[in-house]
This record gives sequence, C-alpha cells and structure tokens, in this order.
Amino acid sequence: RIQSRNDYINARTAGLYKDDAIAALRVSHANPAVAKYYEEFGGKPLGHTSHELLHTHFIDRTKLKG
Amino acid sequence: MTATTYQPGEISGLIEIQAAKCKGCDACKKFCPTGAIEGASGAAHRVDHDKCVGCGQCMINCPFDAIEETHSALETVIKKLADKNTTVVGIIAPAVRVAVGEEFGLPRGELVTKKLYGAMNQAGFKIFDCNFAADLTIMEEGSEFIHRLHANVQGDKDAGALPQFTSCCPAWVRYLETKYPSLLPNLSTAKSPQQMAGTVAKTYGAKVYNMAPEQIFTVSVMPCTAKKVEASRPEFNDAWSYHKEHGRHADSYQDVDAVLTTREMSQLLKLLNIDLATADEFDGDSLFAEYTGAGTIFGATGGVMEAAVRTAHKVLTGEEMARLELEPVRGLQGVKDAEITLFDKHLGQNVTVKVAVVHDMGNNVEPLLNDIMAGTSDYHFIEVMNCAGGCVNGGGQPIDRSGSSWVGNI
Repeated sequence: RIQSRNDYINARTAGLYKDDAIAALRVSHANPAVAKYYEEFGGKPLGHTSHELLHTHFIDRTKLKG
Repeated sequence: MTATTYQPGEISGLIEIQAAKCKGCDACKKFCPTGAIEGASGAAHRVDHDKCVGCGQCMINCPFDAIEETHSALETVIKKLADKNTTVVGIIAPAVRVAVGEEFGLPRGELVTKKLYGAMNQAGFKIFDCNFAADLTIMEEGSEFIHRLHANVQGDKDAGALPQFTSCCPAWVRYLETKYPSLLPNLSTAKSPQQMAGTVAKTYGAKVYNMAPEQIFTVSVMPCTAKKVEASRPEFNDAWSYHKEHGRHADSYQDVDAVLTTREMSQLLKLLNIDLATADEFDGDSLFAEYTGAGTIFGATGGVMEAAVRTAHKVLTGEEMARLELEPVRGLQGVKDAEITLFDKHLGQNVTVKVAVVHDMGNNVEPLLNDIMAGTSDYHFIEVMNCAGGCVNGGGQPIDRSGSSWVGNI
C-alpha cells in the first residue's frame, strides 16, 4: 500500500542520486554546454535575452473570465 | 461570463473520472492536493476543474483504474516522427530515466539514460536532455535569488519578495495562482526547465540544428500530467515572438508542441517495436545532451534546492562547496529545512541563508504560506513540489496495479 508507493519513490530517488554521484560534473555552473549557450546566444543570466526567453510572468487566476 | 481559472487556449479538464468505473471509494480524495474531487462516498465522483491542478495523483492512486487523461499527443507525435520535413526534438525530464525501465521489465529505479537516448534516437528523436535546461534554470533562478537576497540585505526599495519560491512545478504554480495570488511576487520568474528547453530548442537550437524554427517540433517526455497544461499556456510562445521580432513571419506556435508522459513514451516505443531494455546505448547528438549531477537531482524532492545551493555557494563565496550533498533536504519528511552560513564576498560579511523544501504539497504547504502572509516566516528560499517524493512519483509515471492500490495516509 503506501509503503509500496514509498518503495518506488525511494528506488527511483536512489537512481537519481546515483546519476549525480557518477556525473563527471556535479554543479550547474560547470556545465560547458550551458556556458556555450550563454556565450554564443543567451548573453548572461538575468540579461536581456534571458528575460525575453527564459523568464515569465504569473497570472492571478481567481479573476479570469471565460 | 462565468469565472474560470483557465486562460483561453489552455487545456482544461485534463483529468476526468469515468462514472461507470468509479466505485466512490474516496481513495482519490486522499491524494488530491486541492480538494477538487466531489461526490459522496459510494457514489460516482467528479472533478472540479477550476480547483484541479492536473497533477494526476488521483489517477495513479485509483484502485479501479477509473480516472483518465483527456489529452494525449501520442498519435500526433508518431505522425511528426514520420514526416521528413520535421525535426522532432525529445526533451527528457530527470525523473523519466529512473522509471521508464519499469515498463520494459527492468528493476524499479534503474537508471537507463543512455538506453532511453538510444531507443528515442531509433524512433527518430533528436535528444534534448531536460537536465541541460535544469542546469540553465539554476543559472537563472539562482541568480535571481542572489539578486533578491542582496537587494533585501541592502534595503533596496524595489527588492524582490523573499522568501523566493521555486517555479518548476506546474501544479504548484497553478495552485498559487488559483488560491494565493497575493504570494505570486514570491514566485521565481524563471520558467520551468520544460519551458526553457522548448524555447531554447526553437531559438538557439534552430542554429545548432541548422533548421528553420517552424520545422522543429518539440516533444517533452515528462513524469507529469500537469506539464501538458503548462505547455498549453498561451504566453509560452516566446520562440515565435523572438523570431517575429527578428523579422520572421509565421503562424504562432508553442515553445513545447506536445507533452508525453513516461507512460505514453513507453507506449510509443512499444508501438514502434523498440525494446528499451535491449536498445543500443546512445550518447546524444548535440550539446543539449550535456548535463550535470545538479540537473539530474531535480527529479527528487529537495533536488532543486540542493542544486541551487551548490551554485549559490560558488557565486557568493567564490569557492565550491567542500561537500556537495545537502543531506537535510533529502528524504521523505514533509517539510525539510537547512541553514547555510557562508562568507558573502560581495557584501563583505557572513550571511545565513535559510531554505525549506516542501513536497506532498496538499498536506504540507499551507502552514508555510500562512507564516509568510503573517510576516513571520524567516525562510529565504523555498522549494515546493506537488507530488510526494517529487517528480519521481509524478502523475505521469508508470503505475503498478499489481495487488492492492496505494491507498492510505503517508
């Protein structure tokens, strides 16, 4: 029952922590592909392009009409 | 005009209870984070779609298989894969790689990243690991947190609200939007990894793939049903807006064209006669398959916070953390917290950052929100995930229907 569910959660979580433990790089700021993205295209975190493409705004959904 | 919690064009009514199959056992109600399921015990239940956040927890916990999703992109994706003029980009969420193997007879929790890449490559997908976008999320959301922290310490007038909430989980975002709109300023403005991935695939990715953006069809593979609703939000067409500003004219398209759950990806591979268990391993076909350990742990409760702390530590102190594991935010306790004291070289002083991690949102988040509204919360950064355990137990993951259901309290 609930224990069975938690067995799944624990097994899958262990799989992700294993993926982290065996990773050559373990911190986001060291990802060379992310660095390349910013260098060739995205500029800087929180920069103009980031605001345009990687950030959003949230909506008060208690007031929507349809 | 009737009030609704949905915007025009959004998927609404994703989760439905089939009256003919429902026994009125109330199991689903125990797992619904928002009290969206109506109906007396013993009578067929129904979903109040304005309250529903689309998480699918009712569905994976129904003992009678009576709850279904009303939207599936499976057939559309198969057609796109067969279309020679379309490049289909598969965006793979962290939690999929430790669950999809279960659908192919592999042990629960087995890590199958390279086999999944191989199977999806065989099916015709380009590989875009959402873990790359998770790393990107940390760069944006972590920078935003540091900006808010510094502005608050320095007493800037327009310093952003603290605590900052994570914004990766679409069920949590919708919950806040429908129930606590006064706290929206606390939500990080960073898009979720899924939405960053879709936008990047159709902007920078168009250069990487050397393809017209209109020919790129993005399919995310998610442990989550609520991601389908998120992808359909009308404002998530930023790649189209970007290209339009740069003089490209086309009909509007979404950043993420289709969302498949882990279950639906398994069905797709089976329909194409691809056995994930025996698939050749594949390393990926672009820089979008490069990710770090910080990106992959997003799929577990506490993972986003742990990843953010690793990067914030480096940015604030100039040094990497001596030990990367942040044990206090791991595990299945409903609310976890940690204090990190470090020397902030920009402020020239020690700062103590207090963080909290919440999962199984419906049972755990309200007391923290009440503290914040009362002005008595001393947290700076809070991760919230709707599902118990985080995305590994999302509503889109494989369901074990052998024996009894997972009814009960945690």
